[in-house]
Amino acid sequence: MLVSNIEVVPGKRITQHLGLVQGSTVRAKHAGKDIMAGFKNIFGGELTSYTDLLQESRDEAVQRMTEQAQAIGANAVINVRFATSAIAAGASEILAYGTAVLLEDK
Amino acid sequence: MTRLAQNPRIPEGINASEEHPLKEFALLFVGVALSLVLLVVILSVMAQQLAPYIPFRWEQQLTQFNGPTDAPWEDLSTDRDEPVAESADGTATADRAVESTTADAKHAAQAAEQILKQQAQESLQALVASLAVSMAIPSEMSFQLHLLDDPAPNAFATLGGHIFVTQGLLAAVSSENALAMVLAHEMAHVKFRHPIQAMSRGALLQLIITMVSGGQGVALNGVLGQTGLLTLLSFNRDMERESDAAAMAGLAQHYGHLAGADEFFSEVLARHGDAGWRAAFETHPGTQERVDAIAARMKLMRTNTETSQPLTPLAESLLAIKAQGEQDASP
Amino acid sequence: MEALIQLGIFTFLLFAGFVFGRRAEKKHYRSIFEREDRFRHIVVTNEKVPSPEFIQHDFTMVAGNVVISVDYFKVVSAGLRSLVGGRISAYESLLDRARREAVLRMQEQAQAAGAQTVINTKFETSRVSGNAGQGIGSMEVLAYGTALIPRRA
Repeated sequence: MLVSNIEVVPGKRITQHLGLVQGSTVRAKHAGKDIMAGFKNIFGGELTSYTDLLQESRDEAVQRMTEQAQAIGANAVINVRFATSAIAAGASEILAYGTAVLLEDK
Repeated sequence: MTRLAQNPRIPEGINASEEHPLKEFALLFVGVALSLVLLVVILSVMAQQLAPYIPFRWEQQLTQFNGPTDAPWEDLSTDRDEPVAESADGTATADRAVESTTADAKHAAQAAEQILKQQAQESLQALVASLAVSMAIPSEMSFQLHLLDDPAPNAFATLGGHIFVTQGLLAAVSSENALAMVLAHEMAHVKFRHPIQAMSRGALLQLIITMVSGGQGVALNGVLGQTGLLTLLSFNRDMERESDAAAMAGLAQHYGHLAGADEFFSEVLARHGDAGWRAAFETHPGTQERVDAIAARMKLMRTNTETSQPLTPLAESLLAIKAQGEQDASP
Repeated sequence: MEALIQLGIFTFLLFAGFVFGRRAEKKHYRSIFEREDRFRHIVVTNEKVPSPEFIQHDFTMVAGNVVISVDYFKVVSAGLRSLVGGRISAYESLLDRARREAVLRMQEQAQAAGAQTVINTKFETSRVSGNAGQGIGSMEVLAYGTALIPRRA
């Protein structure tokens, strides 16, 4: 399934708009990684565990969005946007939303 | 291209799980509780094994007081320090004279009380010293006795060999045997280094819990705290049982019998009843359990549980301060 | 004894949170399903450029927001989950509800303005602090977009 954040896909024609679809997830990393991150806060550098956490969350959010799109019969999601917010220390929510459409080649 | 007429009907269960929340919660709770119990047990054993390596001398140095005036719990009379103000015009001299006589009487009474207290502490110290021989206390361990004014019967031992006994406790015992049981119990705590073990355990656990929860969420702290606390309480009870056993051995060695030893516990039992199922949440084993333990020990020694054995009376000074305490208590 | 009381209070709060929270959530979801059907004709999309048939329409910005609170059960459940790691399903349902409610309120506003479609929809989620900044208290979701109103001929 095509997922992109542009409005007009080059080389393809939108035959039907199917509506707004959203995918969101709330995730937390386990306590061990939190403690390591705590130490990192003293010494600096990239928090790889949190980078991974957010990457996983984003992937899952997009996957849920495409699941919704598939359920209503779409074959692409365009105009995709992300919204991230912190829920609590160590846990964050990622929302991905876009327009589900039926695309066909021009 | 057809315009979209209405919003699509999207199936449930994609963004929000349809699983029953209790199922997930139960699983998590059990998992976390079990791991926490395991962690507490491991840490406690570690602390208990390692803490006694801290030399007793360090404990003593940490808690040293150079004399009665240094100790914060001694409340010396403050009136004594008030300077007698000179009257400027001399008109109130007569009143002042009466005042100063009553003040003098008060000072005298307080001084007498202090002396009584001093003597009582010395008796306690002597009793402890003689018990120490019977209990085979190592020679580098020394005890310091302190008598507190509290009317509630209580006795406890802290770091550095300091043992505190309250007036209320003296009021609750009628023979030296009963008092010796309580003192021997506290001395056993010091002998087995229980105070430093308990303190190390508590500190280590607090540190770990703070690290794990990372300060996030008061509720989570609550869960962790409860589980940790319940596991810790059982360790305290084992220490108490150990001290009871050592105290009984010491008493048997010192007096040759255990008659009168359970007086204090029996009285507590009579007044407050047994903790029963709530014993799991208390720091000491159930009172009935302790009375039974003493009775069992006595049977083991084939001694009569009745008071056919002569009970040693309390020392003079202790009786005196007991009388003083009763006088103060009665309206 | 103190330990018993503390445990008792904790269990009680947990139980109360679960019972009342679950009831509130179910009721809210029922209301959401019913209103989603009612407002299904107010089409919500997130395209930036409107289709040609909307060229002659008037437009106005519409928004809908809601603040939904957690209950004690959710907080403890999430706390436990954050020790172990993984999806926090307690908060997921909370945010799903909040988002759908926000969209519904935006649709209500659009209908009141006489519109039939809302384009360029965007979402904003933020945390409203609870317990003096520690942990989650409530979540606010804002949904906003441009409503296209057909001109009266």
